[in-house]
Amino acid sequence: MKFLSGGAAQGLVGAVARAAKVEVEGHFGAVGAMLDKFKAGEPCDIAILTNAQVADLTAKALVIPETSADLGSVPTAVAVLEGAELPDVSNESALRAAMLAADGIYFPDPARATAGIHFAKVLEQLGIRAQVESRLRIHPNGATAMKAMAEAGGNPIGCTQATEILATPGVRLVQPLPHGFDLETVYTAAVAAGSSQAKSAAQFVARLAGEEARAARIKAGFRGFAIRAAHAGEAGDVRELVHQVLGEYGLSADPQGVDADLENIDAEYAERGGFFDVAIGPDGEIAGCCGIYPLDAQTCELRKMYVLRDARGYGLGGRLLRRALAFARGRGFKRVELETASVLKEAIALYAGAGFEPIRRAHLAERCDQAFALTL
Amino acid sequence: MTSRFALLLATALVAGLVLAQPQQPEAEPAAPAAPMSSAAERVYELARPRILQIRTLLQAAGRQTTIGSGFLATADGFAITNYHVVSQFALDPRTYRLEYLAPDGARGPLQLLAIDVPHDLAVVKIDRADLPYFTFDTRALGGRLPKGERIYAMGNPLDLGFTIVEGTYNGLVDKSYDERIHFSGAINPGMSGGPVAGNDGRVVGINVAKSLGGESVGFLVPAKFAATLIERARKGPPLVIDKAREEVGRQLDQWQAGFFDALRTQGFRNTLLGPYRGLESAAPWMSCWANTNADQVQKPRASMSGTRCSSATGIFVSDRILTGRIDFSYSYFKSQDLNAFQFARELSQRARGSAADGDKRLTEQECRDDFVTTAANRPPLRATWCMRAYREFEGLYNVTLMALTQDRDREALLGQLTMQGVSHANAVSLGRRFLEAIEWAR
Repeated sequence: MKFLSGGAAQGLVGAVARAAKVEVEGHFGAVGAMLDKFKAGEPCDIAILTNAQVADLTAKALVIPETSADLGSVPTAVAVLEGAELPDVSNESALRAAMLAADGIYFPDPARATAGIHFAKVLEQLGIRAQVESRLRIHPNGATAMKAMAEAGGNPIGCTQATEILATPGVRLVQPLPHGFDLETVYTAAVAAGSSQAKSAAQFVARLAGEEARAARIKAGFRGFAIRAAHAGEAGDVRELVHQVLGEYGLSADPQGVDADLENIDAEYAERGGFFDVAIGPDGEIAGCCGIYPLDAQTCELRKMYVLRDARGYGLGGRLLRRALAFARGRGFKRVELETASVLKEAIALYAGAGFEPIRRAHLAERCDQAFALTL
Repeated sequence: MTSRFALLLATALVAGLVLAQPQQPEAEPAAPAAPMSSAAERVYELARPRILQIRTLLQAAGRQTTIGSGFLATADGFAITNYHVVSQFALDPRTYRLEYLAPDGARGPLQLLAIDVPHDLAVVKIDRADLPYFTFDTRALGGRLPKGERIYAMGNPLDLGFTIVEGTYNGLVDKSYDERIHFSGAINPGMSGGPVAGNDGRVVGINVAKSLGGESVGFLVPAKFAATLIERARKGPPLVIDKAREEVGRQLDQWQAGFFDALRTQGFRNTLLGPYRGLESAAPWMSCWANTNADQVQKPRASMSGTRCSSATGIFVSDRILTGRIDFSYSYFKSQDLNAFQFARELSQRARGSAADGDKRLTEQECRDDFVTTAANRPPLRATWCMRAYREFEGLYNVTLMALTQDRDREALLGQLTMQGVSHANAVSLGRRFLEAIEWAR
């Protein structure tokens, strides 16, 4: 199986591939460099990149849309040598002091690696870039930076994606960068449109993002919510989620009418050329959903965008919407419509932010009083 | 939903303790098994010659001390069992020895080849190579076993002979740091180390623990860890039995390093108690409960409300040591009719903590008491740091950190952070964060 993957997913891919007896080939490194290889036509079955990059590839139909699945988000974190006292980096002044106290600062490519780009900014933000310039140890990616640090000795400090720290023997994770300096990157896996073994690649992605690998993902350093296509057996949980959110806003479900599509999600969405996504929380429970329902060859409808109250404020709505729009573009739809209710203020703000504009529709569902559309 | 999980985990944790004790020979025999289905009979016929009873005996007396189960997994006599079935021998090979009893009645010595303490597995080898053996289910190895599949737990406890229990594969336990399979079925103590196989007799997991209480909930170690350990036993450096204790220590240290790395990666969140805030782990494998004394019959002289979050982790080390758990607990006290002096006395008694037991595998508890102020805008604290070292495992400690706010006469927050089997660096780092996070909410 050929991968083009951000270095952040290397440890997890290795662990899951070993158990599944899948041979891993390809490249793992700075996501910018991997994306360049992908676009240059390097052979690839599975791409694992940031969710924004995968959304872009989905919209351009360069990956198979329904295979794309989040692995979770990875914080950019601070590392020290194994056995060293863990420095305090829980606030700005502590972080600055820890950086100044180190005799070498190890991090990945500040031009093409997610953590490298970010950490270069952190050094500027801390106002110590010039002071530490001679101690900066820049490596092509996080894995090579951590490996070099482990071999360095002395009193080094490092900064890269948590997953890369956890995958490197000899270094320890101190903690994610503190509030105000933090970065959280969602990684998404998808099967390349040009894969010669798309079926087994899709199975591997499903395994990487599936329930059975949840403990492995967490041990590897992934956290937070992950969005993927709903499974056939999840319709009941989706209905429960939708009813719960509707209830919260004083609206009621309509299983015979507008909510009939939730009785058989596969038949109503995937089998008609649309799709239905679910967001899974770190505890394995469904926390959000969103579907694209084809109306005709040109037009689709965004439906069932719901996020549980406890899961709001993490940008989940934006992630669901971005995936939905990328999917619609990738499938060649020219226009997305939706209906909603005025009380769903957060959702409406989200649609407006994405460029949706109010339209008039002849018939609205009973609980809806507004309609919007976006030309893709 | 949350409370159901909490309950399940609460019992799971205790169950770890219970089943982790291999069956004592004088224990009560298990209840007779329910009538077998024809599928179970088939698996029974297939499995019977491949299952071993594993006995730990006192060197000197030649008497058995504990009995567990195991199963043959290779043509040349490698067998899988639980680490906890062979732990006495691993930690004290001069006092104990291991013996197997094969289904054909033959017995012989067992060699301990490899251990995986965090997953509670061991590879042993018998002195013959003529017995049939189990293979692993490739779907289970690849994580592709469908939920609801019929599976059969087997063991050879006591002199009852072979036992088989029909049950269901229910996926992995949701809130668990180390992977465990959730098995619906009534596995009995003494079946520890026995295989759990599907209809075709291929192994999907290994019996390790059961839930207490009436429900039939068992826990299995996924087969992939056993397959990996056999590989290690074959290819890795051999386990020198006199150094097995060092290997246990090395694995515990490695486990805690990974666990605390993951804990820090998953991050922390605040919890609110009265006018105070404290720190809790945001890791998905933590289970939280609330508690109060409001429902006590006698009117309490000080009201208490609290929360406790506990990691659902427990690693069996020896019959006296279960390690690997971490707890964040907070109690907020408010005086009802106690004066300031009485209230302070009541609190200081609670903040003293419990006396440590006399376990010889740990050093005596040493405590240090300090008044600390972590920042000018935070409440001053009385912090008590208590530590016990593992005598046999260098660099590992059980640590309890208590923090009692000192800023008000009639109300206070008592925070307690408990870490088992932790390195000094990890304990200090988390302890510091714990203290620094205690602040006023308003």
